Amino acid sequence: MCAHSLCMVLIALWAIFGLAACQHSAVQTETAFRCSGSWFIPPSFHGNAWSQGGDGTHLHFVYEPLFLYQAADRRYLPQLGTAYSISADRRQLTVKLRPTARWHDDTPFRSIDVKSSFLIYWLQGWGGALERIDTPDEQTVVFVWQRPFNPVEERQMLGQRIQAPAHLFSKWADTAEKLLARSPRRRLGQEPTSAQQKAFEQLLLDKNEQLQLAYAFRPEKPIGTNAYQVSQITASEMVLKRYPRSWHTAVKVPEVRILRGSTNDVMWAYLLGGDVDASHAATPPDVAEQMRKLNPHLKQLNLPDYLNFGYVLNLRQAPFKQLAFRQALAHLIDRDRLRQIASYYSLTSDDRHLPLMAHDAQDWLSPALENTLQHYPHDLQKAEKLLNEAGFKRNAEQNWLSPDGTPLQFEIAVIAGYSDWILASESLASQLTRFGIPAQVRTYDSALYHQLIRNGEFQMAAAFGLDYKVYTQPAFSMDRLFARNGFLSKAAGLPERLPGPAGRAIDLQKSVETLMDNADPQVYRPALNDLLWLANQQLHFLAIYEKRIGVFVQEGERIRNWPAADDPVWSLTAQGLDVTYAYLLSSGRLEPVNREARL
Amino acid sequence: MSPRLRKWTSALITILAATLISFVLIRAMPGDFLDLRANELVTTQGLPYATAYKIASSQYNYDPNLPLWQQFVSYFGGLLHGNLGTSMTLRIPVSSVLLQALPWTLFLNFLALLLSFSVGTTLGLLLAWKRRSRVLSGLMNGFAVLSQAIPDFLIGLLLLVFFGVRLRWFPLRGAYDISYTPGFNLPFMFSVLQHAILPAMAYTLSTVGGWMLAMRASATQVLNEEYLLVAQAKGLKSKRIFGRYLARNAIMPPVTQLAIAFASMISGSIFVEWMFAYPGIGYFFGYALGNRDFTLLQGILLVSTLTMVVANLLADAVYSWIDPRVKT
Repeated sequence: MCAHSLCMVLIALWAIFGLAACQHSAVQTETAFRCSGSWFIPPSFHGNAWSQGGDGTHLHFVYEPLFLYQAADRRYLPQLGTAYSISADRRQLTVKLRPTARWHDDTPFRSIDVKSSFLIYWLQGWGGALERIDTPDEQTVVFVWQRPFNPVEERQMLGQRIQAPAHLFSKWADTAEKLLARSPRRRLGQEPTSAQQKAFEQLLLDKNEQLQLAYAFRPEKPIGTNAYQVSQITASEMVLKRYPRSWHTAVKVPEVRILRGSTNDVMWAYLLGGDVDASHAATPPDVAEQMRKLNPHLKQLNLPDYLNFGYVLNLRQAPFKQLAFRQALAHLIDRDRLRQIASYYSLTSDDRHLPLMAHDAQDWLSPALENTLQHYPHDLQKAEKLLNEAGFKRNAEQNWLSPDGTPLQFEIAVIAGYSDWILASESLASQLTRFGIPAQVRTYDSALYHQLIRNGEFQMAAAFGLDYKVYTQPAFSMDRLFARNGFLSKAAGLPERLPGPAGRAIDLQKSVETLMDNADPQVYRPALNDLLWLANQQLHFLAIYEKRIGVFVQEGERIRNWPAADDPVWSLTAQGLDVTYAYLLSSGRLEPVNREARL
Repeated sequence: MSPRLRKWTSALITILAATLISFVLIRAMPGDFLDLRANELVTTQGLPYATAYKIASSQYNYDPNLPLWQQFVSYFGGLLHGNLGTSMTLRIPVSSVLLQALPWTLFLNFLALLLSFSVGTTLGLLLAWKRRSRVLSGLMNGFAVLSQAIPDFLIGLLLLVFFGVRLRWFPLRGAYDISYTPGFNLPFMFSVLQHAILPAMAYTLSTVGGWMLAMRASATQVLNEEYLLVAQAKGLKSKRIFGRYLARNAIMPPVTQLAIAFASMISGSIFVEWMFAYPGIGYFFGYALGNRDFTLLQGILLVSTLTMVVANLLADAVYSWIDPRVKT
């Protein structure tokens, strides 16, 4: 009986396997661009891009901004906008819109759509000094500000996605406009009275109420203006079809398939099998080499990610509050080793720990400043010397003791699930332990991690340092590193003022504001120099590597004409890789291999 | 109190206790998401902390200042009316999430358990029956140890690479082919089965060894019983002894484990579901944990508890059916 039932099970298995195999091989026909991504799976998925459930990779293919900023040649690529102008006092930005653009439900795209989108952004907290948005005609939109808008705000007006069609969102956008009119005018340097503060807080509560109502809107599918519209959604796959009345007439690929991204190893399997045309799963060099060997269609491009990785130190706690200790730490870390282990294709940060990207560092460093900067190369003897001079000693086990005799030992905080951060931190912990400072890595889930960092309840934590994503120059990085509420400055516990070059006190917040609020290099360069000098001297953030994303693209299997790695179009990745894919498809640069499938 | 009533009462108490404990534990999780959001608002909008906290609280539709017992009473009152609440972050009824995701998880687990239990116990029985064959014993033991030692997500990956990528026999992801219309139609149902095979095999291969070893231990014990000797002495055919005497008596301990295995597979399905992008409860469980969506998490844990309790009751019923001497 036993043998009989075993036979039955085996026959059943064979039948299932065999039939399934026949069936599966019959379904591989479609020609589409395939990439990996994420979205909320049904039933949580909906078409409101503003709220949870509507977010996902598809947004970049469905919506578009007025312009895309190509950082490599500092050029705006027209999308929904065709031209823009800025008034002499920088209080008005006028954008001319594309008359042929349409929403996916065939409603013509008009200036009120831009207005409603930015009013929802305003409800979310953007544009604190925005006065109003005018729409003199259907193809013109004018942003009017209470004060001159800064370069970051300019970039945001031109580069944020237009994702609130007025015919769907007017209910909330109209109320937002009324609230905007109520918005108090704030004068620089003038503290608000208690009545003004109260009115301001009430306004924010009202804004939040409207926002919650807008979030509750749940259309079935998103309605955008970009080249593709959502056609089908399951948990594992999302199919986008070309919108036939799109203004993107050059599109050659009729369909985009987004496959749910999973672990890195699963993504490697997809790449090996030629199941995706582009993927940026973190890949060690040996695996990358093997994949290229097994799938000759794969090309690897190492692109800048406009971020660097490193460690923020908590200056509130001993021994990190001692500058000599931080300098010793900078000398003892073998940053190149960490980079090789955690993110092979990235660039080891230079030994001055500046929040600058390698490709443009020279643009921001004056020769005078360069001469004053310190270098912290990997040098264990130098680290030992610095510690000894600062009163640290080794005990009988050769472990270090602080000047008051307390044994030194660290915990390195990392976000759970960030595999490259964990690898780097494990390697750092073993470097420190070998040097005589026992260290261990502790992982925290994302919510807890950010709370600990913000509250300063850590010793040394892995974090991103420079951030060129929002604004491709150092201003935003300096905001993170030095502003009163900057992510890293708050974590490190920096004071309001620090002694700068020649002992001059530098007001950190003021310097950051000067940098953020001015487009004129004559005005912002001195502030930038001060902050760069401080980053180099204070070492509250130790830069390890400038991140590169290893992107695998599959050339000539389904899709062809991928641009070379040095093509300026890849600098769109500052806004996300999916933005670049969407642009390459909508502009017709990528085309299907199968000629019959072309449009 | 009759044994049956006692069993039902104990099941009810288990559900109540699990609901209460999970309710308290979830809220005791470290990481105050409202504080995090409030701090974001303080930073980005220059709000006083109290106002920012109020806004954050309304965004999550959660008032942490309400005493815990009041929160529980409100939640439990909803439960009594069949209302599992609304997801704090997704803003949809928890029941709609569970209704859509749970059937996939149950189907996959049922298929996997059916396969691993039937193959594992059959092989275990065979192993005990042929216990003098060193080759068979060595092979089976080796397989059992290997299958126990390799985690399901690693087996899943190997299956994915071999059957999905290399041989292209099975789809790599999802629950069904997007080109079919979901419903009671043959192409769709066949596609569902086809998509379930790799994830089900990942579970099966990682658990089949356990069933094999459990069944072998149980059957070896039964083989030493005198009634088996009597049956042989009476000259009964080995087929009859194997099926009626050995298998039927040896299967009882694994049946008890079956219930526990079923319930624990539901909560342990995250990795395999994630790997195969399967639309089950695993995705939502991970999401709810990461986003501190208390109501969604509570709903999923409640379902897991209910599954465990129902599976135990079913195991008891099956147990008394297999062995009529055991009365519930």
